[in-house]
Amino acid sequence: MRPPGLELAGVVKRFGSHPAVDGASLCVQRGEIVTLLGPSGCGKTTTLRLIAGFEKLEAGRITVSGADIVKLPPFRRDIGLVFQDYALFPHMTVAQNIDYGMRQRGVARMDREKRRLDLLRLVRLDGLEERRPAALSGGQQQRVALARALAIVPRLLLLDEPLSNLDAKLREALRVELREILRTVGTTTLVVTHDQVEAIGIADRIALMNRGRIVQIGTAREIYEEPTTRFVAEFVGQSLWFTGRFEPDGDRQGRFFADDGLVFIAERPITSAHRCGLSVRPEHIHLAPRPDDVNRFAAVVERVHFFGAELVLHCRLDSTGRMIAVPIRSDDPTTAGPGDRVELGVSSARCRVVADE
Amino acid sequence: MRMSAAHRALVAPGLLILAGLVVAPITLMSIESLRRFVGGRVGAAGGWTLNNYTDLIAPAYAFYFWDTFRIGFLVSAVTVALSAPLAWQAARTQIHLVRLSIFGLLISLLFLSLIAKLYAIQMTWGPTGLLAVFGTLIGVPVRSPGYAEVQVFIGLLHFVLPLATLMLIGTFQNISPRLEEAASSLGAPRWRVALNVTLPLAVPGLLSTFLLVFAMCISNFVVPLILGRGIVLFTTNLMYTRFSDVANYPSGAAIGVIMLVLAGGLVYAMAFVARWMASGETWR
Amino acid sequence: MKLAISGWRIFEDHAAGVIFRLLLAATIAFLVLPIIVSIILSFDNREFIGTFPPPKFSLRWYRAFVDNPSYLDGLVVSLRLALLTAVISTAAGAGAAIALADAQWRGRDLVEMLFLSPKFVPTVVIGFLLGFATAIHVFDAFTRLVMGHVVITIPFTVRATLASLVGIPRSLSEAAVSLGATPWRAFLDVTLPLARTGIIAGALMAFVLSFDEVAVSIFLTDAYTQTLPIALVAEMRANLNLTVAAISTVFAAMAVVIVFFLDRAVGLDNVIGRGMYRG
Repeated sequence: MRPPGLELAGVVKRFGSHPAVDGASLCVQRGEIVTLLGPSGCGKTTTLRLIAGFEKLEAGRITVSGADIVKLPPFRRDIGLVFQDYALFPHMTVAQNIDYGMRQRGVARMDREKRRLDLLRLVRLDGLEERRPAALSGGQQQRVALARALAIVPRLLLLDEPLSNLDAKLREALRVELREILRTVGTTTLVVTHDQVEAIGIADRIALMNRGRIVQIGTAREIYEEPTTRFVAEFVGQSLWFTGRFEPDGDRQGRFFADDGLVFIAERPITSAHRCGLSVRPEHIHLAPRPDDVNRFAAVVERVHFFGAELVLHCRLDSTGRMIAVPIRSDDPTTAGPGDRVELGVSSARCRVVADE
Repeated sequence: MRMSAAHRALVAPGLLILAGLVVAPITLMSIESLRRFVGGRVGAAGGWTLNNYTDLIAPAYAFYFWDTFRIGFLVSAVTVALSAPLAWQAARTQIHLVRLSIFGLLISLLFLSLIAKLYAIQMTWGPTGLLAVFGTLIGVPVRSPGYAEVQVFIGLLHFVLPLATLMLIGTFQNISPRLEEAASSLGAPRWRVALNVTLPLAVPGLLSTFLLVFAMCISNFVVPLILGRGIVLFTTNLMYTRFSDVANYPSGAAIGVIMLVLAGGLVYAMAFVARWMASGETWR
Repeated sequence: MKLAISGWRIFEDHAAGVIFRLLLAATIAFLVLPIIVSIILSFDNREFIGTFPPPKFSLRWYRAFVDNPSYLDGLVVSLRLALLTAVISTAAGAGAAIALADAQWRGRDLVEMLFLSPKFVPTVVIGFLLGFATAIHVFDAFTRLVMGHVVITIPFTVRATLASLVGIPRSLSEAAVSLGATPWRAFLDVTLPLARTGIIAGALMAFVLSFDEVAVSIFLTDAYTQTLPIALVAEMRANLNLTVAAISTVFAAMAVVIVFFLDRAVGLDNVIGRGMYRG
């Protein structure tokens, strides 16, 4: 079995007394694209810099293609880097930028030219070789940065917030293109981002990071449908949160007694954490209960917000007075108006008991 | 907007001082430089002449100019070469204590009296000094005339290094560390990063620092006065002897005019470099 | 395509790193060593200048400094001169800076250039100018010295004040005015306190420049009015004795005190400013 493309084991890095990375572990298979997703300050950029070699590791292990790289200086690690601000050399042309890594390796001119042309075609920047970075648009600069990193045939590719410096429309178009390019090239890739749409759009798997630790790794669907902690549930998609305690009732289900008095029938949690809570996604709540919806609560619609394709109904629960915002499609026949009484229903499968962290 | 009364009041005192003490005297000096000097009389007698300027081209005097420029140029080059690494380190270090120490040291040196520094240099590198052996090492015996130039060189270095370093810290702070990291990730060892990325991008800053240091060196008076031991004299010293020893104001004025023109030229060059840097056109 | 970095490169990199650090150490040692030597020598007990290090220590040279009338007179003159220069130069320079920072009025740029121009004139020339222009001895030596020193320090007070004024957002004084303050009050209450750092830095620079000034002073002193640097220069050209070492040590202590004061009043980091990329 081939060694993983990238492996982090118990990585620790402190700045002063503050642990930026606090025991992070991660395993990326060869050729896989994984996103490191988390809020700002969670340690994802520090992790990236540790892998690249720009910060010193305090504890733990980092291996690339099975080899321990911690002792290697950055210029020996064969890791391609695309920086958030692209870091293109302003005093060199596009061609010289892309050639730079190859020149360090003593690649002959003819081979350099050939590879450069191949890469420019791949990122769709033919004909721009002699331009300087200042004369390129943001999207073009990003592609040059990518081509430059790929030119050295790296064992690992690291991207730091690749799309955050672009405006919204451009971001969408480039996201798709970026994934295509990465899949074509097939290099093991780690992408750092705080944007969940970006994460889901680019990656094979997503690793969620919070407070220096990797909290959950999985495909987008796994993360969305089976979050293990409150943080994951709330960071990707929307989540309603209820504090309380769970009592098992049988081997697959149980009851969750929320602190505010509500009772849910929910699935047994996979987590064994001390403090738990209940997470319910608003989009799984139905205005008119379906057969599966064992949990039903009476409510009154107070406000309706119109968003074009979607409506959001703000409902107040009869029992606790809590406001729940329920989104439905505009053409949904179960829709209601302000003042209407409704019965909100949600199935037990959609009530997840997760760790409160 | 027109200048208001308040503006006028605020600016007036300073302008008066400058007009009275700089503008008027410069005009007087320029006129004086064209007058004929008659020895024995204080100041100028009658007649207009260009002799004051032409005399200066004679070998005896030309040497002063040559010495001043030659030493100034060498000192400037060495200064930039030595201050750049220190400035880069101060700009890049993440350790707060290191940064603070370097700053503290440089600013203290800036405020330390030049006379104290020159004396310290005499005590260290002079004939009785701890490092007097330095002379033998470089083949210029400590008591020989040639050593005076070595000491002037060292003295000027002490004068300009702190300021040059402080200026270059600003230059390096404005070069993104990401660029250096990018080069590193692409396979360049640190010296290559410096050569291919850091230095080319620092050129405008290095150039303007060089020019400023050069201007400071050629207009310096005290260093050649004390360390030159009469063997090394700058045009500044020449100007003083004209005034004090011989009271040959016209000749001194001529030297002054030449120095002003030179200083003006350097200022123009520095402004040019500054505009080049600011335009952002540098790498287009 | 061969794409690996050779192992030789790591050795190269290490060697380059070592050389770099040695260069840094040498530069710092170069700057600091003479001053340390001088300080140590100032405590030398011997009457003559002997080899380093001194075998015994004493304060005799400090006593010699205090006992020497020409030095003490020079010190008094220098202190008075520097203080007066700082006050006048700051008043005129800061005042001008305030007018320059206020707005774009006709001729503003020209006036700014005018105020900064003395900086580009070699101090010798200024000394010569004034020595020559006032050779008719209408003013006494001390007044002439003040004039000369003020002229060369004005560019610094103007620039320092201007630099800190420019950094104050206009919206602050506009907010004060919208709350009912007259423009003058807004200036006094909001702008001036914030410009304090620049004004202090400028005054400090003016003081230090004046205190250490030789090239201008040497044209303007006479037998009765000597500044300390002039007295020292004469001494140093004549013979070497360790009284100057004692005075130099005092200067060094002064410099450290000034830097501490500057850090407390302004903050050392702010003197240099932060570049666009920090870290």
